[in-house]
Formats: sequence, structure tokens, C-alpha cells
Amino acid sequence: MKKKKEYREIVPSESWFKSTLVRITLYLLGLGIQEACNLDPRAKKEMEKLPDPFTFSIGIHDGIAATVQKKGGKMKYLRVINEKIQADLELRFKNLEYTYLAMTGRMSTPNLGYHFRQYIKGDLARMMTMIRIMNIAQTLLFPNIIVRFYIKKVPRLTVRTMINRVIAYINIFGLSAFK
Amino acid sequence: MFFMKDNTLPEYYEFFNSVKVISGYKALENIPYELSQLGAKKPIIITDKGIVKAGLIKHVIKSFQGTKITIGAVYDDTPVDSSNVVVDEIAEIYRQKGCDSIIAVGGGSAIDTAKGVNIVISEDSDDLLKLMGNNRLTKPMKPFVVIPTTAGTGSEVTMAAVIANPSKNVKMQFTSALMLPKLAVLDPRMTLSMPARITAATSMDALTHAVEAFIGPQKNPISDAFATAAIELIRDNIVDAVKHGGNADVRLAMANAALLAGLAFSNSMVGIVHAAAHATGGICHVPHGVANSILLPHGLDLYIRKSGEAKKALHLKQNIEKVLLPLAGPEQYMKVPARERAQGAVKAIRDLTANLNKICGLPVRLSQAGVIENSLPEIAQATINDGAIAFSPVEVSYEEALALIKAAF
Ligand SMILES: [Fe+2]
Repeated sequence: MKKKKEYREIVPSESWFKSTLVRITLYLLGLGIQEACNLDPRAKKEMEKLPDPFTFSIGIHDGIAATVQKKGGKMKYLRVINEKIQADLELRFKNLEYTYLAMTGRMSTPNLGYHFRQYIKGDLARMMTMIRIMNIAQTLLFPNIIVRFYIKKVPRLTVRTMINRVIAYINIFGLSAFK
Repeated sequence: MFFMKDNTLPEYYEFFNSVKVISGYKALENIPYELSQLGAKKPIIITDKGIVKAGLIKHVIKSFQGTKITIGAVYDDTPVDSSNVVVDEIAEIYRQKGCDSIIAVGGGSAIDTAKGVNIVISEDSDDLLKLMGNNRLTKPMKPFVVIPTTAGTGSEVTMAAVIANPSKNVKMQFTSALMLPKLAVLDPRMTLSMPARITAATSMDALTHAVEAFIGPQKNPISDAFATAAIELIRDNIVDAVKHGGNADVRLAMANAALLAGLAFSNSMVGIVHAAAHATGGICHVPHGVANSILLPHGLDLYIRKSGEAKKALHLKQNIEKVLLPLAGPEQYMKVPARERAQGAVKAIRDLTANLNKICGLPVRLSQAGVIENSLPEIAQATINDGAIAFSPVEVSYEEALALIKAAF
């Protein structure tokens, strides 16, 4: 028999690669939501349905999250995640692994929902609105070949989407690089 | 995943239900024992005037004879649409009388109201609005017993409730596994008095639960077992239940079917048919079961047409084909050529609703159910905004939703 002191606590280790990748993708998604609501008329229309102010947060259960806030009719990505902000609506992946698989396009977002690997805290109807905005944000940010993993039906690639995509890239990468 | 196997077993699923079920002859008489096992001594009964008038409450009260459990109060003023005002009122009575458990006796409204009361009491909150939505609840609930008097909603085994807030003009949806009752009691005496048309409508609601659960993206072997068992029971008993409501065996079979369908859909969820039925109910006040009955074949038609767009792993078309087996029985199933079975399933449902229409006047078109033509666009919009649409195996656009509603009109 082992001695009592040999039974050690196991503090969970950090998975730096996965959590960094998730952090970056969440950051892009947060900015993507902000840009989509500014640039894309469909996303703007969806956003108008949300109450004002309204906070939405997407991330890992008990972990990092990206938070966006609608205030004064504008959607803004909150760069500094303030612990005190209680989001009105939350989408949480139950584990870092699921988040990582989802963000690298190896687990589709509809599937994550169907498999209960994520949970929603808050009003489901508002979640529908946010999902539509995120779908638009994702088509804005990522090439169609990646988007295919995230949403049920990939919209046709139009010139407008291409132009918006370029503006979004400039806004996200340009601004964040020079700020 | 990358390596999706072409297998009917999902790559991953979860199933949860913790409700103890008691079904059959003199099942009510078991409630005092079960309550005592849960440490409860003073339940409040939540019901409505119709149930009291039909003499159903006396069966429940009588079942407590000779036990040590006092009924704290019988609240019989639950309105047709549960509201936060009533919930607060009942919570007040519950506290005043020192109750420690809840018994809901009735249909969807009484059960949802009771769930609301349990939330208010257990969370010790005076504002339901703050707790609205998914997974907002955190505290364990009071012992909760449900005795359904309609066979349809399956609320006795589901973890959701809808409660209206008239002053804010919103329908508050609550979902949490904590809300599951501890006990569901199916006693044939309790559903005997349902009128023919309500029987038909609520049964069609149950059938819709089972069918949508069987083809939804969250389906799994456990929900499938419950869904097919429900469909078979409905197939064999629905017409008899409508025609010969006094037959206790048939009534108990339908109550079981509704419960089984509830077990299936509370895990596998419902899709486009329910989304459209919620919308039609919300805008034109079409009863939930009636709306489902009308919309079910049209929803399946849409799924069949769009089945090519669904993810391969969902096996959408094949699942609709498979529905024909429990729906029509093995002999009929074998007679239909394999490639016509999906349409065959839709036809079997159309034949059933046409028959119910003949027997008791259950509407088969939205226009017969009080829907007016210029509300169709609004219904279509509400359909694609409904939470149930998230569990549709295919993406449904506004135009497609409108076409669906128009076809059912
Ligand atoms: Fe239903």
C-alpha cells in the first residue's frame, strides 16, 4: 500500500497551444461580430432586434471568453473582459478541447449544440439572433472552405461579401496593429 | 468530425431524464408514499377549475386518506395561459401555508405554472424575468409531482416551461434540468373526461413530438426507443381514444404515449413543425396541438425536399422513411417500395388527420383554425425566430417558412 503522502493532488496543467489559439479565434470572432454589425446590413438588422444595452459573451465554461456589447445602437467588442460585466446571454463550451476543435473547424458549431458540448445561458430567441450575426461574422472573416464547417448552409460568395471581407480585415488587423 | 462514420449511431450523444414514472390502476394512491420518501409532509395542489369541475381532484385528495400528509392548499384558479401574476400568487399561498412540495394536476398550463412556482420558491426570487432563459437556475427544487390530465404535452417529463408576462408582453421560456419533476403519475381515471377534439389535438401534439424527435439532429438510440414506442402506441390507440373516450385502457395507452414522446423530445428536441406551431399559436392563438396536427405533414414535406442539403450524418431522408414503420405497422411498411417510404410516412399522417377531421372536426388547414391570410408573413418571421428552429436538421429561410405556412393555409 502507498503511504498517504504519496497520494498527490493533480492541479490541471495549461495547454498553451490550444488556449492561445482559442484566445486568438475568440478575439477575431469578437471583432468579427463588431465589424459585421457595422458593415453588413443583414447583421445590422439582426442587431437592431436586440435590447439596448445588451451584452453577449462566448467562450469556455469557467474560462476565457469574448464579450461584445450593444450600447447606443452600436455593437462593440469589449477588449478588456471585465469580470463584473454580467452578460445577458452566454454561449459556453463545456471544455477547452471542444472549443479548440470547434475553432479549428473540426467540430461544427451546429453539432456542438446538438451534442450538448456547449450550453446557452439566457434567452434562446436572442441566441438565434446572435447565431445569425456570428454566421455573418464568420463569412466575413474566414474563407468559405472554413466556414463550411461552422454553419448549416454557406451563403453564396458575392462581390459585396468580398469587399466587406477586405474592409473587415483592414479594420481588425490594421487598427489593432496601430493602436 | 473528420472521420464521420456512415453509421446510424451518433458520434456522440447525451440523454438525461430523472423522473420516476408510475402508471396504471390506482396509481394516485402511491403519491403519499412517494412524497414521504422525498421528505415532504405538506404539498400544495395546483390545478384549474375545469379539473375540479370534472371531479378529478377528489380522486387525488382521496388518495391521501389515512396517511400523515396534509394537503396545504388546493389552488384551482390557474388560467388557460400561465402567467407570472398567478405564479407569484401561488408562491405566496405556498409560503403562508408552510407547504414543502408541489403537486400539479392538469394540462400544460397547470404544469407550467407549477414549474414556475417551484422556481420562485426554490430560487427565493420575486422576479421570474431575471431567471428566464436557458440554464439560469442554480438551486435544487422542491419535491414536485405531476399528474397530467391531458395526453399530449409530455410536460410531466420535460425540463422546460413557458410562462407569460402580460405586463411586459413577453412569453418567458425556462429551461433547466433542475425543473424536472420527481414523479409523474399516469392514472387512467385522470384523462377519461377529455373531450374528443381536445383528445385528438393533444394526441397529435404527442405524435409530433415523437416524429420530430425521431428525425432531429440530437436523436440517439435512447430517444429513438422512446419515440418509436410512442408512435406505435399512438397508431394503435388514437382513433379509439377520440371515439371511445370512456375506455380507460385506451386512455392510459395514450397517456403513456405522450410521456414516452416527452422523454424522447426533451432530449432530442423538436424542429420546424414546432417552430411554426409556436408562431401560429403566438400570433393567431391556434391551440398548440391543432397547429402541430396541421403543420406536421407540411414540415415533413419540406424536410424531404431539402433532405439533400442536410448533413449526411443526419440521415434525414432515411429517418423519415423509418418513421413509416412504427406509424403504419410492419405489413403496411413492407407494401410501400423503399424509395416511396418517406412520402408514405407523410401520407400516413395525412390519412390520420383526415380521419380525425371526419370524426371530431379537427382542422386540417390553418384557414379552418382561425388563421387569417394577411398574418402569414408575420407567422413565417416568428417561425424562423423560434428557438425550435435551431434543431431543424436543415437551414430554413424566411421564404421557405412562408411557403410552408402558405401550403398549410
Ligand atoms: Fe408540443
